Amino acid sequence: MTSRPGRRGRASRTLTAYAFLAPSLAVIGLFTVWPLILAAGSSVRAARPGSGEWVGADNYVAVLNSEEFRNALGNTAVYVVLATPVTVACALGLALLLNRKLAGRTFFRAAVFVPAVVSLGVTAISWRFLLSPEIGLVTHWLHRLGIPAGNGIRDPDLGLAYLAVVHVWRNVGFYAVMYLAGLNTIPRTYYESAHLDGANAWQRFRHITWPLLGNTTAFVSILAVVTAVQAFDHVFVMTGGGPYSSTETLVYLLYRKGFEDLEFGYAATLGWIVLLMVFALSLAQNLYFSRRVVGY
Amino acid sequence: MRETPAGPLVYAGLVVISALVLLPLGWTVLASLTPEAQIARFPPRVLPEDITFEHYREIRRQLPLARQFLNTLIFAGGVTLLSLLFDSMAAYALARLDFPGKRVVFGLVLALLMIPPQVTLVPLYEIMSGLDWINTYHGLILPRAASAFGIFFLRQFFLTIPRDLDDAARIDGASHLRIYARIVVPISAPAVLTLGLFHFMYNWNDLLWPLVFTTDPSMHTLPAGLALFMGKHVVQYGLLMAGAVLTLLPVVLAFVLVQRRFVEGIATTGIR
Amino acid sequence: MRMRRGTFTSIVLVLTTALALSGCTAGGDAAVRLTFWNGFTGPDRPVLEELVATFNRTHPGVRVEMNVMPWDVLFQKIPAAYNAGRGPDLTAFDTVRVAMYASRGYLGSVDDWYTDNTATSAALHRQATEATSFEGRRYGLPFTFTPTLLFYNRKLFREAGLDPDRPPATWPEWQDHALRLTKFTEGNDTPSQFGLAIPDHQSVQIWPILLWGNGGDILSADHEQPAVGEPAAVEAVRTWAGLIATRKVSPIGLSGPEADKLFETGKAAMEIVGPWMTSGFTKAGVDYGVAMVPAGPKRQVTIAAGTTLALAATADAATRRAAGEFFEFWTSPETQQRWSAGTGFPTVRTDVEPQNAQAATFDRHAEAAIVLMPGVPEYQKIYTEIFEPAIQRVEHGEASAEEAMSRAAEQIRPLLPR
Repeated sequence: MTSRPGRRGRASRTLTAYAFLAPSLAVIGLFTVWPLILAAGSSVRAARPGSGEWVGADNYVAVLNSEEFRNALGNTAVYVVLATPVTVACALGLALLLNRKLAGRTFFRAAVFVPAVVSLGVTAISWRFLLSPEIGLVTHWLHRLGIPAGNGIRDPDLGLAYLAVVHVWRNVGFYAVMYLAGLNTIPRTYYESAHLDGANAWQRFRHITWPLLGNTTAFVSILAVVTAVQAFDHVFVMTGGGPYSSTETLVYLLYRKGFEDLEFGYAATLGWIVLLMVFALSLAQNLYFSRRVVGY
Repeated sequence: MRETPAGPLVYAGLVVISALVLLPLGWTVLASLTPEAQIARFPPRVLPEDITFEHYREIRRQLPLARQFLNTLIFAGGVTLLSLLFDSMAAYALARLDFPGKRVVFGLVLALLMIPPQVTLVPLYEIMSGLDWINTYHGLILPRAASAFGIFFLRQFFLTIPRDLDDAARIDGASHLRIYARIVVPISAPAVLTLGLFHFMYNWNDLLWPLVFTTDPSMHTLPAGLALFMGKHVVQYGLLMAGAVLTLLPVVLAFVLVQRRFVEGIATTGIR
Repeated sequence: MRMRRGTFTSIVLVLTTALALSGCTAGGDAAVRLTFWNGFTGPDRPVLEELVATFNRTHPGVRVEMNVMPWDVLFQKIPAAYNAGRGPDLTAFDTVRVAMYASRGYLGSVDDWYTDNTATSAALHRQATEATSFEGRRYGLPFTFTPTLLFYNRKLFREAGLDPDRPPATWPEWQDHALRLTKFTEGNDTPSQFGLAIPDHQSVQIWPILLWGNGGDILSADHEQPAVGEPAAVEAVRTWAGLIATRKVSPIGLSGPEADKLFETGKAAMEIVGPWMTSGFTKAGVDYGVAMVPAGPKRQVTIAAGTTLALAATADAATRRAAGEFFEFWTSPETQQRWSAGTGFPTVRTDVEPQNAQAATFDRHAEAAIVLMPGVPEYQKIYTEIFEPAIQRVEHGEASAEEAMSRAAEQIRPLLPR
């Protein structure tokens, strides 16, 4: 651009921008930010609502020091590490498969996408049935195949892994569609010239597909991490955080403190801690990807 | 090469993957057609011995389905339409305009993406009941009329539309409103449609939100009504699964209808 | 979005009409409105709805507006609504939660109703009414009250060479039957049939029955000390967790509904459960018997499962009067008989023998039913968050009964008033 906008131009553009933002900011401000501020208010007050005594950072110290928090933090970390890379890798793999010329492509695309649009709360009930060690179809089959299924969904060592499987099942189709979209923006000429240069399939993936999908990968990874940290519905239905808190995630702990124990101070504090943590995490991701992404 | 026709191995792989993915859904459908006493069996079997439509008949008997269907449609449809409008406006500003505070606003949107809804539930209830919005359609719809996810999603798409397009339009004297409405949104139609589908399905399936912010049974949505079959001690699996299928049907139908446009569509504009 | 203008306009029209309609709800008459939230979902709901309709028809001055929702939603809504000062006038929930909600100031005392209705209150089960107390005041009346009993599969008893007309009466018999009913197939270390199904979470509390039978408990009688680390409690846990973990008489880590399904499919031969399962078991064609829980070395008791009907702290005089009418209606012999006939629950009164045969069986054992930790506001933490996980650790071999129970005792101590 050649002409530098004058002060009046800039002011009017700022005005335009905020006019475009106004409805969203109003909605978000009133129904998300304001409740969050109220929650912050109760995070610096005594645990029981109504007593209102100012306790400053006491709740934060208490939460960070509590065994429950550390357990849930560890479980969440394990869950995110189990679920995120698998989801993203499977999504990319599926997208590569489904990007070919295929008979029945529409069916296959729809099939992998459907879990993303059905209610997780309800399908988790089916999953719990399927993963029951006594009467579950999946555990029964695994057993027949000689694969140890442990104590099914009730196994303290495998519970998080089973939950992660359901997580992948739920989310992979959605991200595969994102990748499909990304794949279609790569100009075919790149592949053709690579082909002429004698590059094999792996080299073409490594040097064309993967780098040019950088933005998609960034977007998908951020969403995938956020989704994994927020996992709740199927944890609630399938394990309830048990046995002995072995599958209790941060969000589940938050729910339990707020609505089972009625400790709103603790819950609000934990909410803020989770928020800050995930925010830092995705900022880091954002930075990492924005440095890596090649301009093209 | 990506355009080579797929071999039998690829098909076999895809069939296995689809079968695995569809297994829990298939189980849900079969359970909805199985007499309650046969749903849990040992050893577990895929196909039921008897088929029954009793669960569906029972649901029709027990629930005002038409009313709940309408409520769900109003709620999910209202949220979708409003949210598409607001999200796309905000995304336009974040993707196509430079203004002071842009990074802060975007950071805020990103941060809000991560809020587990449980954090704000109690204070939000206070706000809603202070406004006297409990048990109203606008109380259900308006708080969801803008979504951080939607803004983030559309911003990514809008960023990929070449700037030359609006620069040309600017030179022709078009306002931002015009560029937004006539260029950016129409070009992004597939993305908007995808997001619309998402908003619709998310809200269509949502249980907690409509149950918490309505107390009047005549305001219940379909999932809220169906949840009543999940008893404290007795879970009526057959009814629950039949209800799940009923809730699913419109969503799957909607998906199949727009699927083509939608997957192919993102492909043509696409995020990179 | 390339939506046709016509479609868009019609959607907007539908929406605005709906919004307008929502604005004008039916105008009320002079009747006092009572909002009533509860979690009686499932098969109980139609029966309760019918009774509330009867009440509304016969009491023109009062109108009960009921809102039934799943229990977990109810438990999320109760704090949100009462904190916002918009809680329902009446709520029914698990009796174990009375003290928690009362201590948060959500509920109002109903002592005056008890003193004004001495005849009725004397007829109610004593343990049930006492369980609605917190710090000396009563916060509701028993809405449902039932003992849990031993269900056993008669067919599996016969197959194992046991007399189906002689259910186990003592712990040694019970343990012997459980072992004989646990069957393994060749080369498989997981039983193909379990003698028992003992859930350890999301269910009626079974483990306290086992502690009580051995003379142990979770808390001391005055609720001021933990008792779970005492020898009687530890021994009970060691015995039963040992049978489960090493002899595999029951699967580990069952929830209530899972245990029910195992009994229903004939995969478990015995289960302790309440009257709500009888119709499901019958429909599934299970040939079952119902008996009192076998006597432990020290006591023969079982656990009571019950719900409480509570009044909001904010209720004004008119609301209290109206609620009183509903209380009277609910505890009347006719209502109780109808509820019992429809759900299989025994009545909350000692002077009404249910006509429903199944309910009558439960009614006979009501006096042997103990309420778990009445009046303890920290019940949720003590039981669900400390005791149950401790049991699970023992079952999974993560800790010995001594370690887990003494650790639980230490965790419980700071939660009790001194």
